[in-house]
Amino acid sequence: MTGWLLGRLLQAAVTFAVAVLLLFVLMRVAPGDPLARLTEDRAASEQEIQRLRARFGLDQPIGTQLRAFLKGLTRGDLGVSIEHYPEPVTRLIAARLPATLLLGGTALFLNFTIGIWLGVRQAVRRGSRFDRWLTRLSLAAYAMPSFWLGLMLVTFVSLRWQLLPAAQMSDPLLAADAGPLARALDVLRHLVLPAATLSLTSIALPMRHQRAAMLAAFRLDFVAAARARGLTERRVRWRHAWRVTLVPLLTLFGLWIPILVSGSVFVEAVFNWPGLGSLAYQAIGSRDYPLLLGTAMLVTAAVVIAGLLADLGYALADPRVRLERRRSPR
Amino acid sequence: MRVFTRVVLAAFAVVSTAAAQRPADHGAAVILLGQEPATPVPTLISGSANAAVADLLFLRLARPGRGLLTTDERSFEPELARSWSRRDSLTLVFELDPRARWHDGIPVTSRDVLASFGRMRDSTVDPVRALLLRQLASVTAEGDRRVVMRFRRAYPEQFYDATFHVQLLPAHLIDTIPPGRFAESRFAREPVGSGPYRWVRRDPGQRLTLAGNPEFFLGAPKVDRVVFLVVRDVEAALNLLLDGSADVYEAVPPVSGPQRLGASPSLQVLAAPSFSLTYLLFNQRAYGDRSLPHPILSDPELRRAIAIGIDRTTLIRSTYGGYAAPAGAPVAQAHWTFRLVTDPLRHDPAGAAALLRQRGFRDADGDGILERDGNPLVLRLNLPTTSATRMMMATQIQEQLRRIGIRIELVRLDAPVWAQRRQRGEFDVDFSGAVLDPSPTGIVQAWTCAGQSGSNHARFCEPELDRLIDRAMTAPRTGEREWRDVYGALQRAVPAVFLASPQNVVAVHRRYRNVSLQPESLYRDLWRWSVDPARRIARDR
Repeated sequence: MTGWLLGRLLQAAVTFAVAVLLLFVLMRVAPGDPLARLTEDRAASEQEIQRLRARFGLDQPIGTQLRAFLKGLTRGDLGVSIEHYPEPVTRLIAARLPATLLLGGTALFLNFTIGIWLGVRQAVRRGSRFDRWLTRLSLAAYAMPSFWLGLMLVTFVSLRWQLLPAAQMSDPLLAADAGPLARALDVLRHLVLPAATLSLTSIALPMRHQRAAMLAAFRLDFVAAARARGLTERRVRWRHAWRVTLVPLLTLFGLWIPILVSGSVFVEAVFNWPGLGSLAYQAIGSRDYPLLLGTAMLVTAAVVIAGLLADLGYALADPRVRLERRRSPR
Repeated sequence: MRVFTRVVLAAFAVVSTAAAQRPADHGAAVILLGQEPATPVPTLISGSANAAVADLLFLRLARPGRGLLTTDERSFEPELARSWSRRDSLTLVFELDPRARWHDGIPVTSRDVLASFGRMRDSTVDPVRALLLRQLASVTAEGDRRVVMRFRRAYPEQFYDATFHVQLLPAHLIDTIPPGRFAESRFAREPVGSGPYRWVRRDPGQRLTLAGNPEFFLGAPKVDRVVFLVVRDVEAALNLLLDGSADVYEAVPPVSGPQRLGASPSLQVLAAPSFSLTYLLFNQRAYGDRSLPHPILSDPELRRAIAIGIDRTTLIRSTYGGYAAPAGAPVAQAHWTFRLVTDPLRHDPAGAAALLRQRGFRDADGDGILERDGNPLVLRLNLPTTSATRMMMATQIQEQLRRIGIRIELVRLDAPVWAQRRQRGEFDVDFSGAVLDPSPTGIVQAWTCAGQSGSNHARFCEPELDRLIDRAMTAPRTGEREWRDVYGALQRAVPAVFLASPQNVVAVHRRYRNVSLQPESLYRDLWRWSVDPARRIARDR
């Protein structure tokens, strides 16, 4: 197990390094000048442009820029944002990360609790009216563009019925001395619509996965044996059948984890949610290389770590995975 | 849901009753900005969002009056300077207001003026401002409250140059910061100014909070809590206005916005003249090769044909509603010289077709596109995808010019690529937009031979026009006649089709009184606004 883990860690580190290197080079060779935007609607002398190039190291050859970047990386310094100068990239990311994790984490939590529960219920009541309608509704929500659903929710829930705020993560004028409870409630009110939008448009995935896996599990011999032993249906369902479905769900969970940090550009835009998705989108639009690289690295790291965790999860959940890995070289 | 809402309301009731009661006409403002004001500090400012916030924190010696007449020092209003006088045609004397204080309580003195001008005249610190202040020979102090400025030559905008370009910085706080470290300094993060509002905090990417300065020497602001929210998406901004979470938004879409916001009884839509301009810039040099003249657009008659082939009135009506005026020259509605422009380039498709025929263009193959020497009349129009207005106008322009036999290929580009191509001269026609300086002399940067090393991306150069501009800038009085000549010469040369000068379309909550929006700085007078006590809302209390 230790050898396998070390091997996977090494593989993950190499994947990350190659991805970062590729990102760095591709961003530099892509068309578009990051300084052109800063000077787009106002006059700038050649001297000023040169000064700005020197400030951000853009006057150096790409190899020198890469060395400087890697040197900074060893110190945990990702450089300074061009668009948000003089903010360091790490500070900008750190400022946005909690909002992203909160929104992504809530959607993930809803999808993998309610989604799984509904998937199991559908499998149990297969072919019933409940199953058919839930399938239709979840697939309809899955087919909806998230920004459209977000706008619809805002139109009705916020503007027409005035139940929840239309955008933002918190009330900008909440009293400075407001207690933690008032602050938490305020964030919760603002979280409901974006989290619902993200969740509604994606909950079909774990739900459908869970339904299919559960139906397959119900057909297994040991589940029939458990029923024959006289165990309650609830115990058969959750203790025996559901545990078998964990491996495919782990795969899905691993694929979802990067969304936790990458955020959702559309949902963040509609709700003005201050997350990393919109920050990365702005960085692309302005060719803010340091910020773009910083956010891209974070997502890359999340993908690599999620893959690693999923693999680890398989190995822990199913001993056959380890055995198969040991046998595979032969 | 009801229980949840009750719990939330109860929590808010506790919070709000805990706050101290404030005067009935005091209140708060939540202002939406499309960009982030990351560094609202003089010498670091770039972009309108930074400028909007900096204008509330930092004062100038004086500011342009209502008419924005940049050539008449009598029309300016005092800020940090209580009064001013002239010793001769080259020397201005300013008397500082003894009541003026920095937000930390230290009086504003002539030392601050010297330190601020010292920084801003240094081309290594702020090259643009240094260029704007190049006619200023010296700034000296006579005691703590008197400042003397001497110019290199006499010209009508001396006073404007001496006051508009420089917002004063506190010498006691900036003197110890090396210019190269200014952007990373604590001062840049938590600026201390002398304006009506004090810095409270900035949450990167989200909001910036200011508080009214109760000691402000011109009068304490009544709207004494101001939050600038960064909202990049127009829909999200409109929703925040409609659900009552925000009070002011300056980028209301001119066609659909007023109608949508009109549904709310608490909102009003106001229009304020702006210094914005949109225009089609003709490249004078060959696409991507500045050593050669452009095969089509170097001919002024062909440029004229294109200009009169475009129906600007229809374009403006469909994209700006009633919130823009046709522009005849590189001046905007808020410029005092705007009224001097008479536009001879009226829509005349028949005239345009005749001009094209005169220049040897014929539709030999009957495909609707004219040719000359076998080459079809095709032009590439570069435009940024970030501007919905320009995208909409470009499609209409394409159709209007197709009717007179010109094929326009729309090259929609990501903003950084669009800007890069413009700088490199990789365009036939560029769909440009600019926010101009209040002074008509800003024309020098983009439309003179000298500007070719800077923002004259089209490499337009007419020595006669340069001479006329120089004459207007040094005219003894306001120079009205001289500016008229300049605009006339520009219209004859047709370096661009000046399409529209849009207004700022601003949504403002109806509970505010004394609302005034200034073209050069929309919220400059925010401190004079107050709240109608009968219409106060929860966040005002």
